[in-house]
This record gives sequence, structure tokens and C-alpha cells, in this order.
Amino acid sequence: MTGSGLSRSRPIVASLAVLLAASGCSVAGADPIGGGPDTLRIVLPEEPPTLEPCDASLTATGRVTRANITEALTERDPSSGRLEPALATKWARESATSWTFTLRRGVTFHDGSPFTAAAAAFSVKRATDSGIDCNVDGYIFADSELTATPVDDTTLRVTTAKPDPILPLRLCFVEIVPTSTDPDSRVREPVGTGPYRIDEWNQGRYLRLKRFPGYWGKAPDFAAATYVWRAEGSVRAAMVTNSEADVAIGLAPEDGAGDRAVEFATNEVSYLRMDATKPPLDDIRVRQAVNYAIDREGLVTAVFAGRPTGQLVAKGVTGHNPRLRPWPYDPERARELVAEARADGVRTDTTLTIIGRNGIYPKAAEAMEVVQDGLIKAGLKVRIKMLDVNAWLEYLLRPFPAGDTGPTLLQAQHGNQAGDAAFTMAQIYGSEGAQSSYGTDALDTLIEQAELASGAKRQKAFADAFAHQNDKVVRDAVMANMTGLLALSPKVRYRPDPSTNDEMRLADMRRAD
Amino acid sequence: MLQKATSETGGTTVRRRWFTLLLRDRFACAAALVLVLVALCAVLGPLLAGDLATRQNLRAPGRPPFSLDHGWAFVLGSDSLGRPVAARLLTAAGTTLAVAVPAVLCSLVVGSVWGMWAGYHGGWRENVSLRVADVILSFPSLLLAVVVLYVFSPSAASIVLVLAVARIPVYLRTARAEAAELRSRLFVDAARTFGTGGWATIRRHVAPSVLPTLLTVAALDFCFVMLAESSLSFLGIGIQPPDVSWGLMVAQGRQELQSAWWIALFPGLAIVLTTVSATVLASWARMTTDPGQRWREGVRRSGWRARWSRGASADPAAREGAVTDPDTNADPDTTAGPDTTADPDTTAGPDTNADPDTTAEPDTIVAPRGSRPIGPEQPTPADVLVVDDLSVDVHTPAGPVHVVRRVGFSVRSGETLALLGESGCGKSMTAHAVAGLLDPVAEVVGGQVRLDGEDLLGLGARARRRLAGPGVAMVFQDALSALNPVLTVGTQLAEPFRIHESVSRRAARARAVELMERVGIPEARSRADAYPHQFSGGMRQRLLIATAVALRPRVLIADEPTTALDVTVQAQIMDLLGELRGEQRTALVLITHDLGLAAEHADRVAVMYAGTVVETGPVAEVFGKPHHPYPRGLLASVPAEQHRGSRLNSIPGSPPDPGAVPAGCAFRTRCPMARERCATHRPALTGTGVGRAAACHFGKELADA
Amino acid sequence: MLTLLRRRAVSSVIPLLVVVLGVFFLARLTGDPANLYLPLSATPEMRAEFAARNGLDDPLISQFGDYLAQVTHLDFGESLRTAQPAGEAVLRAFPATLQLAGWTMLLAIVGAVVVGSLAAYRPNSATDRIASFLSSTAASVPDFWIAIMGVLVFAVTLGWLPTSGTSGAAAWVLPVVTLLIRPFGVLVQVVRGAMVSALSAPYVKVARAKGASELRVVFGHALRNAAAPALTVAGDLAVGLVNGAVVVETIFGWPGIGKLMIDSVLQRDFAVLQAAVLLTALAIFALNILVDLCHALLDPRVRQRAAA
Repeated sequence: MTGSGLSRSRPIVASLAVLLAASGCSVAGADPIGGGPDTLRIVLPEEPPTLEPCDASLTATGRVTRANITEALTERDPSSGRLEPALATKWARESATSWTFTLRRGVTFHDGSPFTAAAAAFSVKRATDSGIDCNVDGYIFADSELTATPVDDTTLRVTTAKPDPILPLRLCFVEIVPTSTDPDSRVREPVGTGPYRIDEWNQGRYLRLKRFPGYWGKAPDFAAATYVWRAEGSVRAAMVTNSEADVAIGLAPEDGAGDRAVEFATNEVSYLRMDATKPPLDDIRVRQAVNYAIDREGLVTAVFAGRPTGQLVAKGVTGHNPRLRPWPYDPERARELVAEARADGVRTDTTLTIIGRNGIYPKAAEAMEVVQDGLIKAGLKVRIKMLDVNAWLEYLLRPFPAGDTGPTLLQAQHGNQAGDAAFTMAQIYGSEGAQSSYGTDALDTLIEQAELASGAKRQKAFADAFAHQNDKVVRDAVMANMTGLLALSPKVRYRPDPSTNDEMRLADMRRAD
Repeated sequence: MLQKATSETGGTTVRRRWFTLLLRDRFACAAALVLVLVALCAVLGPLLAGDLATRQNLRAPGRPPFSLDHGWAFVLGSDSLGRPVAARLLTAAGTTLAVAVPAVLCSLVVGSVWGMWAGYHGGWRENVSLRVADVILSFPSLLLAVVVLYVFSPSAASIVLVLAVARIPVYLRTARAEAAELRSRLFVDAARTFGTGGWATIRRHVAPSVLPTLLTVAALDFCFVMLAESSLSFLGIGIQPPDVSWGLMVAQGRQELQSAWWIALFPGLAIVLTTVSATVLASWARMTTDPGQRWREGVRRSGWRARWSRGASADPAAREGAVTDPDTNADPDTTAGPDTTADPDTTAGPDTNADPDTTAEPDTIVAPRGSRPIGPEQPTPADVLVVDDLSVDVHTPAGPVHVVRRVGFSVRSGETLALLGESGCGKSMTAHAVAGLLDPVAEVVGGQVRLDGEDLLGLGARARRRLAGPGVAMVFQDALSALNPVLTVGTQLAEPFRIHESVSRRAARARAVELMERVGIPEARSRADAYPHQFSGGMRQRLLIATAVALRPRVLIADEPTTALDVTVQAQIMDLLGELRGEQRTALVLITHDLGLAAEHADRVAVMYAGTVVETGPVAEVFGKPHHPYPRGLLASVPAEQHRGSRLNSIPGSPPDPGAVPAGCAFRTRCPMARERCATHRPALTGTGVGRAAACHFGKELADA
Repeated sequence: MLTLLRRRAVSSVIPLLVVVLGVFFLARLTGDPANLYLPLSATPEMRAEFAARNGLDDPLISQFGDYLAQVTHLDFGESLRTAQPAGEAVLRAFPATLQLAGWTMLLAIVGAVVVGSLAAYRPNSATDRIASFLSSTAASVPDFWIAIMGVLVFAVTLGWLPTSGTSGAAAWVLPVVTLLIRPFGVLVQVVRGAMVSALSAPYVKVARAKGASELRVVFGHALRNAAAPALTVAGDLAVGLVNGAVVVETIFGWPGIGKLMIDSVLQRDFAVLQAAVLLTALAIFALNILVDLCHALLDPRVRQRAAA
């Protein structure tokens, strides 16, 4: 205006503005959400880190990959619990340790290569015996060794080191990829046989899938699907009410999805793991008191959506014990038990630490406040320590943190995705289980027997093991079977099922018109 | 000038009057009240709320607010676990303050001491400190938080540590910048000798001027810390339940904004209210402690309006109103009756009943007002500037102070009038009023300023601006601060031409260079691109004069133009002014406290004391034989040939505070001739000879003696 | 000016190293990432192998040495989480943050200059009081509150704006406004304070005595002098934005560096974290230098001091 310096700075300001404007244009318009009526828009709580098929048991990866991009030999019907054919049309147990799978003909991968037994064998080996640290390997094949060999183009033989009655169930987690897939490192954008293939992944912004025209099965309704991700539940819900998205998952009741919300039972169960090796939790009466002191009804009314339950697996999972009821809320009884233990010299005045994990489910900290309140009323001393995932994992997994952490109550949640209690019991209740801080020999024996059984025997054996845990061991305070919540736009018809959180089948989503 | 005026009023008693001052500022008062309340909650909260804050009711969660059905604790509703929000707010106040206050104090103390030390010493210490600040600033504070809280486990102490460390650089940099600025000034003033050591200087000289800024920053930081603590709670590494802080409440309640808005809203409001109060109080404290800003307290809400649109239509009434203000009437001596002001033709005399003082003075011959501003002399057509009955009030928290009272004088074209007086006597204020440059806190409450017969005070802002430069121009006393430090002198000199003659940038610059040459700046062409600080004091004063005379003003007011200069340069500057006055036939009003300067350069002199003109007349006559005891006292102590450079301080005692001018004659407390009458009656300016007038009951006696 | 630039660039090298070093070691204090990246039932052998593969079993010093050697070849390692080069992930996220920060600061500064000058022009007037009150309120409202309320009001209830995302200019409004409010509030106060002192300076009187219009007085004379403190504070605020607007990026699904950084802290994705911090630190140092240059540009005395 007046100053010579002022006029000197004008071009700088101007060029800055131009630069900003130009850059703004480059970002604006890069995001295709909006699509057409043929595009399904889905909003997730987080972006998948990768779409690596052998990490498909990770929720963030699996719910995009499984049954959409890649498929497995078998698939489990989440409602009935029955195993259905997928890329294998039938299978037979030839000996205690050997199975044969007959593969579907006429299936091609997204890259045009045919699906063969060689690809299946390659996929099994890649998932279970490679240097990629596959999540599936640890979760599904924790202690089993297996070899897959192609017999001919459409026959695959799988042998296991130990007898494995549920091998076909385990194989529903092995996503089949062509042999051209990198065997030594994780892939971000896999090729599969699924009804959709990856169209474009603009990292950080959106992931778009396109219908695969060469799909062997029935073509899905929507020609394309776009995934975006928003961390805030209320924003996800708002996107559906504002018709910016058709499906929003991982919602909490207070997120405000209104009449767009759909509730569904999940297989997730929230629980507290008690550190039964340290006083005062080494006394079963104190552990029972903890169970009596928790107001489960209150939790599901005020904190999260769910149904109180007394065991770690949901209905429909092999081994679920229908006779096990949730512990009743009985503060009086809790107080008596603590008093009894105190009278017997148990150090009930030791401070218990609740190790919580933020975001493990909605209002995780509030849930622990409810627990803390109950325990304090029962006469125990309790403090809360909320941690981030990694710090929390150190408490969850063996080896447990060294040093004097004192007796802990660990906030945890377990979802048995595979539908068999084998994926719950040994890990969580076995004396040597990766997530287990305490077990008994009697329980270990029960678990071992159950793992080898099959059919109705298997069901009963696991159910007995749960009952034994609940009556004699009481290492947990199981809280609730969590209820899932998603929001649907009027454009979409979809019935969520217990495994929707882990495996969201786009093919099941129908156009409403 | 203004600042001086009020700080003299306040002086050291200001500190004692803090409380009173606080009460006077409604906003600051409310803010203080809120903070006291918050502090009370922090202390008494746990007692009041008891275990209500943690008492859960899972069967009836989320009770809506504003219902007393369930007791006072539920008046703000209950949260998702059924705990009363109001009780939790009370309990949370303590935790919140226990984190926020130590965190802010820690970073304030460490950061500011470090910053002042670095800034004061400069060199490598400054460099290293700044780089450390860079490191902390560019370090993701979140990582730091996760690490510290992970390693030491979350607790109030570790949260304080993390937040304090993260904020240190802010204070460090601010304190450093101010201290460095101060350092350069201290060195210029060779004031390093003030302190024996670095720390003493920092404590005595640096800290007081840096602290106000830092306190403002700290007030805002208070809020930052509360919000950061909230974010930590959001990540789960903040305050751990069952302890509760406002931040934790907001973080937890945010999930329920849609279903139960009150859970997050009230703690959020508490944070906002506390911060706003802290900020308001901080800016109030800053204003009260900073003498440079304190006077602003007095600005009346309508003050600016009166100032900027002192239009002809509305203003005579306004001014009249101001004059008849009861406040003003409390001092009967200064009051012109409404009818006097309203009717410029009224001749004061025995028939003017408006002023009891004047009428009680039977032997007073009062000059006709309006047409005859001072003394008995008739204004001649050559009078360019006529100041008539000019009164200026300064608004202070304690009410208006009459700093200029019914001052009048006139100047002819090519003539020099010296306005002589001690500092604080109102001469600068008079000059500023004439030039239309009063600060918003000051206001013309009566009188006229006529330039070639046109009343400037009646002009609109735009018309007034058109005359600023070609009509009335002004040379200020401190050339360094009067030149804009960030613009080249060429730009500043070209400005009058750009504004008034709409010439091109290039043409204006050429004229500016000419002007610089005219006032004797060597190598004007190249030096036009230099900045004020690159010139010597004398050169700067020349530049300032050049700016003022650029448009050949009809009246040039020079406000102590040579005060800051050494004797030889003074003479050069005065010569330059004299030359220009001769060349341009400008009427020059020379404001000075230097008798010698007046004697040497002025044609006529008007001596001011306590806001009034006490004597006026041709300079030789007044200096030769003063008709007022004040100039007489001044001159008596100084032999005529030593007038130059001697200051008007040779009379015992000191001039009165503008706010506490004694009744009657203002000079009587120092006057050797004072009698009873002087205490009750204020003498008016009365003709005592040809072209001479004095405001003394004994003016005639002195004249005849 | 060039010497200033060169000197600042050289003196930034060591602090930059310190930042990298600090992040490197602090990150490793937060625990072994194996728990997150290995299956829950991972055996000790698998853990050992994981550590060996990712170089986490070497002594810290040699790890750092290796890292520095890599960085000099512009190799920032691979993300544990996404199995892609860390440098790539960071470079993709950074422009989004820079744009957001750039627009926010531009609007905040312009707005603050106007409002702050207006408030300072008539100190203690009603305008001043209102501006001060609103700005200190703005500076103290929790940003996630504004963000969520913004979504609820402007997207859900009124339907004027999209809830989130990056598509189209309308999607910029909520993030920018949310981000803007605090810096705007702080800057208004700073600008006001500086303008009050500048407007009471004698040179302003001189300008008025020249007959300058009030616009010219305020923007031509006072503002340039008041700019210095505002510039310093604006620099600090911009640093905060460049360092990532975590909350805003999280809520609005903005693929910026702040979200990336917090994810990599929480996911112990060291390579990405280090690359992100290195890049933001570079940007912040550049920003600081830019602020200093602006100071020099605005004030000839600073120029002279810098040249000396």
C-alpha cells in the first residue's frame, strides 16, 4: 500500500494463494465417494493396513478381503455353524491325519489364471509355513503342522502331523491366491477368485472394488463397492443419515444412527481375566466375589450393547454350554466372600490393578469404572490403568511383564471367529496358553480330550470344560456377549450375522429397489 | 504526554488502588469472580460433593439437566453411568487445576527465565537455546506423552511434566525475543551499568517488561493445557478414573454428544469460562501494570466517536454538553457558562454574569472573546491561526482531568510564537488539539481553532484530513519514534504528495528527494532508500521537518523539535526551521520548555502553567519585564544571556498534577506574591500593556512596577 | 538475507539430528512391536526371528547407525503395518496436511488481522470487548467438540456440507473451520495487543498529521509494525498444525500426517514414525526460517542485525 516493503511482499502472498488454490483443486475431486446407484459405499472404522490374504483373521483386513476378494476352500455358515463348500466342492477324511479336497472346476483368478490344486497347495503353504508371520498361521494353526500336496488339477491332499478332526474348518481361513503371489513377503493388493477385484486403492482416502465378471458363482448386485474409513462412530453414523454412505459398521448405540441402525449378535465376548497366581486373587472366593460384584445388567444398559453371558463363546460355536448362566449381580454375597477370605488371612487389602485397553469396545474406560465401583463396594482396593494396544498386549500375552505389577484384572474381549471352542480353550484357559495367566491340570486334561474329539462328543467335551472353568477354576469374570450395530441406507438390504464384523460379504448386500 | 499526565496522577498509589481499579472494570471483575469461584470449587468441591461424583446409577443413566427432582447434584443431568454431572464438575475442578496450574507455572518459569537469560546474553547461548526450542517444538509431543506415560505410568505428575516440557519453547522464544530487543536498547542507552551482574539486570530491567506479554501467553496456555489434558484422556493416557478432570469429562462425553449433549457441554463450558476469565484478567492486569496502556482504561466508549466525527452539526451541542457537565462544574474556576460558549459575541466584562469569578473581579478588563483570543491586541487579518478558549479533558478512571483550560493565542503568517512551559503544563496537549491529533482518551470540550477564519473543530474527519499537511503541519519531538521504522524515508517523505496531490509514485519520490536535499540531507537520492534507524538524530529531525513542510503548511507546529539533540545540531535545526518559515511564510508555533530557544527564535511568547496561558506578549518584552510572577520567577534565576538551554525548573516546588490543580490561582502555591484572594479567585488573562496580557491579580501592579 | 538463510540452514542440522535421535530412542522405549505384528500365539522363536528380520535385536546404537546410513540413501525403511516403504507413506500424507494447514493459517491470519485491528482501533470499545471475548472463547473450545457439533449441525441437521472426506471444496469447510478457530482466537488477541501499541506510537500520529486516511494509517503504518509479535505466534501455531492436526484429521478422515503419526505411535510402526517426524521436523525448521525471513522482510532493523 504505502511501503516499498509492502509491495515487495505482495507477490509472495499472491503466489502462496495460487499455490494453495491449485493444491486444493488437486485434492478436491480425488475422492470418488458418491459413486452411482450401482456403487455400494461402506464406511469402516479404520483403513485396512494391507489386504494380505494370510492376515485375513485380522478384523481390519479380513472384513474387506474375505469372501469378497479372495475365497477359501471351505466356508462356515455363521448362523448355522455348518461348513459349506466354497472353492472345494467336497472333502473326505481318509485317515486320522489325511484329508482329500475336491476342487471346483472352471474357477479363474482375477488375473485370468486358472484355479488349480497347485494354487491351493501354494496358498496353504504360504499361509502356514512361510516367513511372513501370517496371522492366520498363529490363530488357526497355532500348534498344528500340515502339508498340502496337489494330487491332480482338482484334487488336493492335506496331511497333518497330529490327528485334526476340524481341519476343513481351519482351512476356511486359508484364502486361496495364485502361485504368482509373492511367497516371501506380504502383498498389499492380492489377486483372488472372489466376486470383486481391487479397482483402485487410493491410500488414506478410499478403496474401490469392482465386480469381477469372470466370477464362478452368482454375480453380486452392486457393480462396485467403495470403502472409506472414519475413526469416529458418530461420523460414520452421520454419513449414513446424510446419505454419504450406505453401510456403516462398528457403531455404538449413542452414535445416533437412529432408525437406520441394525443390531446383530456377534461372537465377541467381553471379559476380565484375573491374575489368579497373585494374592488376593489366588483365593477362589475372591475371584468369585469379583464375579458377583460386577453389575452385568447395568453394563449392558448404561455402557455398551450386549447380553450378559457366562462363557467366552457365543451360541452357535461348537462347545457352547447352554446351561452356563451369567453370574448374578450380588454385591452382598461378594462382600461376604471377601470378608471370609480376609478372615482366613487372605491379603484382600492389596491393590488390584485393572489393565484396560482404550477402544477395545465403545466406552471401555467407563466399563472399567463400573467394575471398579463394584469391586470397591465388595471391599477390595482397585485402581484402573488404561493402556494403548501395544502396552496392553504385553499384559495379555506371554511372557508377562517382568517386575512387580501386582495382581491384575485384564480387560479383554474374545471373538471366536472359527466357530469351534478349540480356538478359545487352549489359548485362553490352558496352563500354557498364549493368553493364559493361570490354568489347572484338570482343565488342561479336559481341553486336550475335547480337542481330539469330534461330532457330538466334541460339543459335550468342550461344554464340560467351560462348566469346569466356571465352577472350579473361575479365572475369568465373563461380562457380556456384545451386540453389534451397523447402519444401512435405504438403498441396501442386508442381514448382518455374527461374523459380519470379521467377514462382511458384499455379495449378501442387495439393492433395495 | 498523555501517559505522563495520568501516570503522574496514579503514581505509586496505583498498586494500592488495584482492587478499586478491578471493581471499576466490570469485565475484569466478573472474570476475577469466576476464577475465585473455580478456585473455591477446587478446594471445597470434594467436601461439597462427597462421593456423589463417583456414585453410579446404572439403572437410570443420562438424566437430562435442569431438573431438581433428584437433588442439586443432578441439576446438570447425569452421565452415562448415572453419576451427577454437577457433582462431578465440582470434584473435577480440583484435579483440573492441579494439572493445569503447575504445568503452566513450570513452563512459564523455566521457559521465561531461560528465554530472558538467552536473550540478554545473546551469542552462542541464544543460539543453543533457540535450537533446543526448535527441537522441542518439532518433536511430536504425542510421542513424548506416550513414552512418558508408558514408562512412568499415567499420573497427574507425569502429565504435568509432559505438558510443561511441550510448552517451554513458547515462553522461551517469546521471552528471548523481548529480552533481545531490550538488550539492544539497553546497549544503545549505555545502561548496562545498571546492574552489577547479568541476573540482576534481568531481574530489574528485563523481567518487568517481558512479564506482561508472558502472562498473556500463560493465560491462553492455561486453556491449551486443559485441552491437551483432555486429548490425553481421549487417548486414555490422561487422568485415570475414578479421578476426574474436566478434560476427561469432555473426552468421555463426546461419544454421547447426540444422545446426551449435557455430559460434554458443561465441562466444556467450564473450561471455556475459566480460560476466558483468565485471559480477561490477564489483559486487564497487563493494562494496569503497563504504563503505556494504563491510560486506555479511561477511554469512554463514545470517546472515539466524538473524536473521529467531530462534525460541525452535532458537535457544538456535544461540546457544550461536555462543558456544562456537572464534573466540570465542580471546578467553578474553569467553567465557562453555557451561554458564554454558545454566544461567541458575548463580551465578558461586568455585564457577563456567567462566571462568578470574573464578575467578582471588578477591576478585571477581560478581552472580548471570540474575536480577541488573547490579550488586548486585536486579531489582524494576517492572523493565520487563532486558538480561542480551547479546553481539553483527559478521561481517566477517576473521571475527567482538565488538562487544557480556555487557552487562546494567535499566530500570523511568517511569525513565530513560542508556547513555553514545563512538562505537563498542557502545551503539547494544546498543540495536538490544534492539529487534531489527540489520543482517543482526550477530548476537546470547548473553544475554537480557526485556520484563516475556518473553525477546524467544526470540520468533518475528511475535511480535517485534507487540511492536515497543507493547512496545519506538525514536527514532533522524538524523531526516532516519529518516523516509521519499517518504511524507507523516501516513502515516508513521498507520502504527503501521494495523499494530497495524487501524484504518481515516481513523481512523489522525486519530490521527496528534492525535499531531502532542501533540508540538507547529503546524497539524498541514494539515501531515500534508507530506513530511519540508519540516520543520525539530527538528520532524522531534518527528515521530520521535511515531512511537515512538504506541502508548505500555513501553520507549522514544532513540538520540542530539538529536545533530544545536542547543542550544535539544535542550532542547525532551528536555523532550518527559521529558513523554511521565511521561505514559505509559514506561521510557526514553537513548543518548548527552553527559555533560550524561545528568546532567540520566537517573535512572541505564550507562557503556560497548569493548562492555562498565564502570560503572553512579544518575546523581548515578556522576557525583559514579565507581568506574571511565574515567568518572573523563572527569568529571575537565569541571567538573560544564559537563557539558552536552561530549563524552567528554577522555582521552588513543582507544578501541580493536572488532576489536582488547586482552586483559585493555580500558581499560588509557588507564588511569592500569593494573597488570600488568590486562593478563591482564579485570575483571568487580562491585558497589561500593548500586545501583552497576564493572568494574575497583580498583573497591573507588576506591569507598572 | 542469503547469509541468514545459509546460517540458519547450517545451524538446523544438529537440532534435526537430535530430533531424529530422540524419536528413534524414545520410540523404542515404548515396547516391542512384536506383540502387535505377530500372531497372538507367537512362539519365542518367532519373536526372535521377527526381531532379527526387522533389525530390532541389534544394540540400539548400531541400529541407529544403520538407520542413519539408510537415510542418507533416502531409504526410510519399511512400514511394519502396511508393508510398504515408510518414505512413500509419509510423502503421500504430508501434502494433505500442508494444504489444510496452509488454508487454515491463511484464513486465520487474514481474519485475525482484520478483527484484531478493528478491536485495537478503538480500545475498550464495545467492538473491542466483543472481539476479545469471542476470541478468547474461540481459543478455548475443545476442537473435537467443534468438529462433532459441526458435523451434527451442518451435515446432519442442515445438510449443507458433507460430514467428512476430501471430495470437493465443500468438504474442506468443516475441517478448515474447526482447525481455524483456535489459531484465530489466539491471533486476534496477539494482533490486537500489538496494534494497540503500534497505533499509539508517534509515527502513527505523524501519519495522521500528514492527512493519511485511517485505512492507510492502520494498514500502511501500524500493521507492519505490529506484525512482528503476531508473526512469531502465527509461526508457533503453524508448527502445531504442520505437526499434525490429529483430532481434525481423525474425525474428518483427512489422510494427513497427524493421523499417520498417531497411528504409527500407537502401532509402534517405527519406520513410519521416524520418517514422519523427520519430514515434519524439516518442514518446521523450514517454517521457522521462513518466519525469520518474514521478520527480516518486515523490519529493516532485523535485516541489519541479521547481516551484522
